[in-house]
Amino acid sequence: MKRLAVIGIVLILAVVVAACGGSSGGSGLILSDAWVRNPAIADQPGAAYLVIQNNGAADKLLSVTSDIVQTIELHESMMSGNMMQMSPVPNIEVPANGKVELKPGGFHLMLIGLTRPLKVGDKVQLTLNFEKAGRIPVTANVREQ
Amino acid sequence: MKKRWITLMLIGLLLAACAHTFAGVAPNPIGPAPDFALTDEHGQPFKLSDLRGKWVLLAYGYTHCPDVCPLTLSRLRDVKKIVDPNGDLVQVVFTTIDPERDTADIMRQYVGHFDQQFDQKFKGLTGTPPEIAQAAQAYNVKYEKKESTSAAGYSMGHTAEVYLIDPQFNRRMTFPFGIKAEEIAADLQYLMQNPEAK
Repeated sequence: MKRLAVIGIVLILAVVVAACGGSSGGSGLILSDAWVRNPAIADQPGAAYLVIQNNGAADKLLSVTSDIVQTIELHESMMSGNMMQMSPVPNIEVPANGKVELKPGGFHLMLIGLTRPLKVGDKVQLTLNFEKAGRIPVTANVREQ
Repeated sequence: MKKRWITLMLIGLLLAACAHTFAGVAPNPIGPAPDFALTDEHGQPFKLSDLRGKWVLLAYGYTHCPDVCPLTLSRLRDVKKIVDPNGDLVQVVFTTIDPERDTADIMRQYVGHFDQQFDQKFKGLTGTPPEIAQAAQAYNVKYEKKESTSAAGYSMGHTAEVYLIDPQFNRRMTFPFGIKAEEIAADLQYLMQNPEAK
């Protein structure tokens, strides 16, 4: 009977994890909808985006690495006055039981120095480094928009 | 009685067809579009008024901008795709506010990424810093250089609106940043069919 209960719990967990459809790396963080914008000019800065869902305690995205690019910086575009400004940010806070969306016109990952050409449909690996959760990999699709 | 219902229904249908709420903002009063002279993506002299006879979608930005400018340009590409995919009635123009880095050759590569599917190519304009200042001033575009710790170098703050000019070279509409392609396309299609609408 006890064994049945354990199997039941494992099954429920499996369904929950499958339903999330993102990478979590064992923390409360779930990464999804990651994409890289197909760059207009390969040797100029590019951008990548994703959604970070947090089902646990507050955390911070500190850095991101990938073998497709020399440097990845965290940036934010924001309307200041009536001008669109873009600045590097030291980290991106992920609120407890909340989510942060990296999307055009807001937080984004700036890709500087691509190590190989990209095309629409390519899949690239990004590794996000969080203050508490540590490293979590995610696969990003290369798209136009 | 039945006839009256039919009349009312017809009026209703007519009103529904006519009503259009613009997503963009029309200047009041509508007047001539400011002109400017720059250098195009082939390194040739180019005046904005050379585009008289076309509907012009004019945006300002810079090619080292990985986030906001590609978003605007992909939306303008989508507008072109919806409204005029095979024609030459709708001309997209992208003017740099970063003449220090954006040469004609870089502008050609940049706009060339967004116009691949069209026979009619986008214009990518650059110039000397005073010429760019004048072209920005003409549309009340503000921009400023911002030194940055980024490995990508300095960034440019800039207003990010899109301006619509009609074939008579009148300024017709300003679209705010972040507006969807479908919204610009709906305004443009409506104005093409109702050129006198405001």
